[in-house]
Amino acid sequence: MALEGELKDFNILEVIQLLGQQGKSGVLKVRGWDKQGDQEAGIYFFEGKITHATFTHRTRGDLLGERLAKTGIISREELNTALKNQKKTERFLGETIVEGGMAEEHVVLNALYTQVHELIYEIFRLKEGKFQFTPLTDTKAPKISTQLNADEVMLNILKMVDEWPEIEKRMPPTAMVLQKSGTLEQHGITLSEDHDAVYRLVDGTRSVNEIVEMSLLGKFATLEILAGLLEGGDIKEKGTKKEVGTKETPAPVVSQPSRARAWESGPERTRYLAGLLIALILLLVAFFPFKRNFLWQGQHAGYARQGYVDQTRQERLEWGRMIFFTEKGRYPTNLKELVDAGIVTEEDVKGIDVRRKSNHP
Amino acid sequence: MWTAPVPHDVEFMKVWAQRKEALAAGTAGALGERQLEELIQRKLDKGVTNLWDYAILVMREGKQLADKEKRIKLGEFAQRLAPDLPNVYFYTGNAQLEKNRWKLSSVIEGNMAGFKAYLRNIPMAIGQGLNALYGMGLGILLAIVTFCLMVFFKRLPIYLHALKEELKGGTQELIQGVGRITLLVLPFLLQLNIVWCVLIWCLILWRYLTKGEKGLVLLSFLFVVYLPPTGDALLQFMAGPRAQAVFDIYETTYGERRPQAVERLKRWVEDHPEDRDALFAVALASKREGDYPEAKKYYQQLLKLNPSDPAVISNFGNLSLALGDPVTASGLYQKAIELAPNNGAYYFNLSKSLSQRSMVVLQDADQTFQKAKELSPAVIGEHMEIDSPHPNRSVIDMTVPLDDLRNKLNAAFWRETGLSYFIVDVWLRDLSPRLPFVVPVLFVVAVIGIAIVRKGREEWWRCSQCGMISTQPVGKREGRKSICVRCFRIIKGKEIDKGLKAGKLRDTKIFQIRMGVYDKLFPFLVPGVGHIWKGYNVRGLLYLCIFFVALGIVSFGRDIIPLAIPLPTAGVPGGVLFIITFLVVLYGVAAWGGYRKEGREITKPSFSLEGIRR
Repeated sequence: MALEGELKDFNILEVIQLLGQQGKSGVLKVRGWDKQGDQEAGIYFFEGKITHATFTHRTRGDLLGERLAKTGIISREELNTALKNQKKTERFLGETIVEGGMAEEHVVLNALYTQVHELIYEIFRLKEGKFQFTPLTDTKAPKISTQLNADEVMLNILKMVDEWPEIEKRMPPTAMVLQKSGTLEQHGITLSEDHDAVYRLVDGTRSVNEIVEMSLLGKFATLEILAGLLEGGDIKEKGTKKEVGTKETPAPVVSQPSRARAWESGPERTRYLAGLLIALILLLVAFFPFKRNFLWQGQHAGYARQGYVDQTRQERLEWGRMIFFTEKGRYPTNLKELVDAGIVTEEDVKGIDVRRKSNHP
Repeated sequence: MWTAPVPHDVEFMKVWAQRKEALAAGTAGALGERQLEELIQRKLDKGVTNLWDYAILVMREGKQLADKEKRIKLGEFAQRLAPDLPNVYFYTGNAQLEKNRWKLSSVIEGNMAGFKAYLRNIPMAIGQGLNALYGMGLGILLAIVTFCLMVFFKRLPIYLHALKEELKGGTQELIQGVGRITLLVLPFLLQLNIVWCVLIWCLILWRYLTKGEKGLVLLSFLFVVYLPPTGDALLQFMAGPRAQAVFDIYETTYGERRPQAVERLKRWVEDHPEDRDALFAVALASKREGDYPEAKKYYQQLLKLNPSDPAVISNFGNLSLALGDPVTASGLYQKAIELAPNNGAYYFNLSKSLSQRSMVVLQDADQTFQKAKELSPAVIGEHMEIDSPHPNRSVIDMTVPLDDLRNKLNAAFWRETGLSYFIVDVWLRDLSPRLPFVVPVLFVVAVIGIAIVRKGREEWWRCSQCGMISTQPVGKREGRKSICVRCFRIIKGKEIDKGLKAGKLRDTKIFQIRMGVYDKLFPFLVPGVGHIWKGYNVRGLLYLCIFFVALGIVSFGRDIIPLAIPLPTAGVPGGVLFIITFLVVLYGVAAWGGYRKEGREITKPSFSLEGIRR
């Protein structure tokens, strides 16, 4: 029987980790739904390693061929040729491209690496749905495949989840056109490989969105690097571009409130003080007219008890009077005498109405 | 000014006055035993079971004596004067304990006899029972308040974090934040009492509560809904005429038969001629007082209601015998025997009537007596101890059984209060003096509403290792412990950003130190609080309930509803010592247990935090 369950019961990353640890081969199918409607995804395993992934939600830009064409690694003609060959041979596109000599293997692997991570990230965002793992015994790994370690993927996805809110705060608007400020060249500073790859895409004409699409590093890494370069003054804003059919930036996993910039720029302390003031005013209204006894008194509490207590107290005094008479040969002239004789207590005579008749045995 | 009461029994007072005079003159011996014995005999002649006030007077006298032997002796007289007064046994037990501090068997014996007397003394048992229930109810409510406050304290930081985030946001978020503040103050705005305040706060934090906490809050809610109205209903019933009638039947039959009680009961039977127990009690009281025509009237009334009641028929026979008509009496006893052939008392009465008829039937009388002994040896044996030619002592008068009185009280309560009170009324009781529509049923609606509205939404939660509050998907979950993504990455050794790692370690250290202080402090505050803090909610609430109930009974178990009879003694010997020992042991067990338990919601970091600066 295949492994299956509900996404709300099992985190998909835990399932991936389990399949990786067990060294399974097969496909983990996920059927879920989000704002865009029903989604279907598949994560392919070969001996516990993730080879590739598919997702119905993905846009054109998520496709491997499109990715390679946009980054200029292969031309549109080469892409069309590769797609035709793929249909004929029914082999993976990556293999077709590499074997056709259109791109080097490590470049395709890089693109696949990013693609797999971003698709699994999208699958991870599905909160409701079902998953089912179907083992495939005659599976063969694609010749060109990422062969990702399941644990590694899980930790990378969690890192993306963790850091995205910070990146979102720092990232420039997607329509912003960036240009180099020239400081790096002036000072002869060399960047790391990833930073350099992104920096080279900044040419004064491309918007942030276009740079993200052209980068093989993926949305997260590219935006993080862009934010860092912008903050460091290595690149700067040139203007904004009206985008047609722009690709969406990654949606945050954390449901951060959409913050109005105007409010954000205002002093936080003022808002806290305003909140505190409101709380104090409400407290003032709540306790007006400054009686606290409602805290230990119910709406009806005590009335029934008081009636019964008064009744038994009256009777107690009647008995007390009788005992006093038998003991002393006369009736007490006041309640204090009963207390002094030790027949009743101070508590018994507190607030008692002596005119009330007793009617208890 | 006091109005002079009519002394309820001149005869008793006369004997008591003679005793006082004799004691003053030094002619009555040390304790006036002869007069006390005479008082007891007069009591039996009058058909009175308990002389409450004289037993109290004897005990008061005994308390002033230095001689321990004499105190015990007076205690024994008090027991005979009022055998259904529990305190006479406790008093004697105390006196014996003072005489010999190591003779615990006498204390246990005294206490047992006292508790048995409670079972016989319905008004006193109910008074003390209500006090105990009041103390217990108060204890349970205090436990609920403490439990809910602990839950509130545990979950409030999450709520405040969400509030803080909202105050940082735009206009919409700011409005949400103000809504959050208003919600927190809402119980005060509605002027709810503290029990409802804490319950509403738990409702406000409902989304952040664990399943166990939610279950216990709901259980507490049921207690809060039902406890106070049940208490109200009970006390209202006790102050009402139906309960009064039952107490009057008891006082007339088993008590001192005070004139006020008899008069009130006579008025009750005029208004409720169908109440057979009350009629029976009044008829017997009239016979015992010597008012035979009145007694005859009531017995005839009873026979009209139920012509085949053997107890009524037998008592009517007793009346006939008292009136000097043993032939009629014999006929009535025969009829009673036909209806209840296994009751030895009827045979005994028949034997008495036969022995009064003629010498011819004396043999029959003896045979009937033997039959009576065979059928009911305990009843006959008990009666033989007080047997005398006095009309109130020569035959066995049937009385309303105590069990019947208890059942009557129970049935009257349910008839008066009604089941609908517990099914409907308690849920629709007004809770707020400011808003009349705030009723318990709203609470249920709110819980269901929250459960439906919030289903499937992302919630704020707290990392069990660093205390960070977020809506991030859980990095790692083990039971109730959830670890945030960054802590998980640190545990796995995958966090390469040194700045992030250092910040996280610092947060973890601060959080762990703070939690460590609470872990050590809470178990010693009140028994159970430490358990609740560490996530052992059921056990914690149980400890709290036991502790507060014990405390409630000690503090309020005697004084909330005073006893109708002003008793001079402190009560059960060794009772206070027992309760104090119990409370100390409970505190020790709960505190130690709570201290040693490992928190279910806090994860100790698997990496070292040494050298991390706060």
